[in-house]
Amino acid sequence: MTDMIVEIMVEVLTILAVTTEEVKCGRLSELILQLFYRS
Amino acid sequence: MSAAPSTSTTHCNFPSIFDVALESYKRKTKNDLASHPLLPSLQSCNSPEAILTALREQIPASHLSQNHDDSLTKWVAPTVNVLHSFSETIGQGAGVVSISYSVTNNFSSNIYFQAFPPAAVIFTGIGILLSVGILHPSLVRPVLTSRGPRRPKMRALSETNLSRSLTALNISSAASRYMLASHQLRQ
Repeated sequence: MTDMIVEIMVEVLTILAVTTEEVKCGRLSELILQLFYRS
Repeated sequence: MSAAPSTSTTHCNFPSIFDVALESYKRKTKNDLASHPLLPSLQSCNSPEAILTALREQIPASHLSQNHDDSLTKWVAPTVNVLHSFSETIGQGAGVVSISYSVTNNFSSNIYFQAFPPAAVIFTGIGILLSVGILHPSLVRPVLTSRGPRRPKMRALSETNLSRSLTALNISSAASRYMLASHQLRQ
């Protein structure tokens, strides 16, 4: 049971890492696109 | 007493497994959860409500929208509730992990050990996610919306991946709740 909980917690941490990375990249690309399309 | 060997094995493997996950997180996001300033305040929280209150403070004021509380309740609250249940289930002994990390590059031999519940580390990760703007209106709107002919595809792709990640997080929460419920039924 504890093993499974640990595995799930590690998975959640992995998902958080991917999502955080994705949001950062998304915000950056959005800023670049806004600057590009504004002109 | 019969469960002792299994528990001790888990205790031995737990720090190394979690260490690898933390290193992976650090590599991906460039954030060190073990030394993040949010961690101590989350460690002092004793209930899911207190954790959610602390996490709510991480949302930038400029990112607040009318629906930010709904979004927080929709995907953060279940995850926090489940992780908090996990912490209680695996107990204080299994819930404390010693993680080593180097404080400075100049003195790489100086290794410090800090003990903290792994759930608090994950809550810190959620706080970082909130602080980078996960609840920003431009990110929580539906993925498949008409955006005009000049809207680039790159942004839609990014939002699809984001949506997929959030769905995975919710599925993980649902699976965890199911697992906890079946374990309690077996007992």
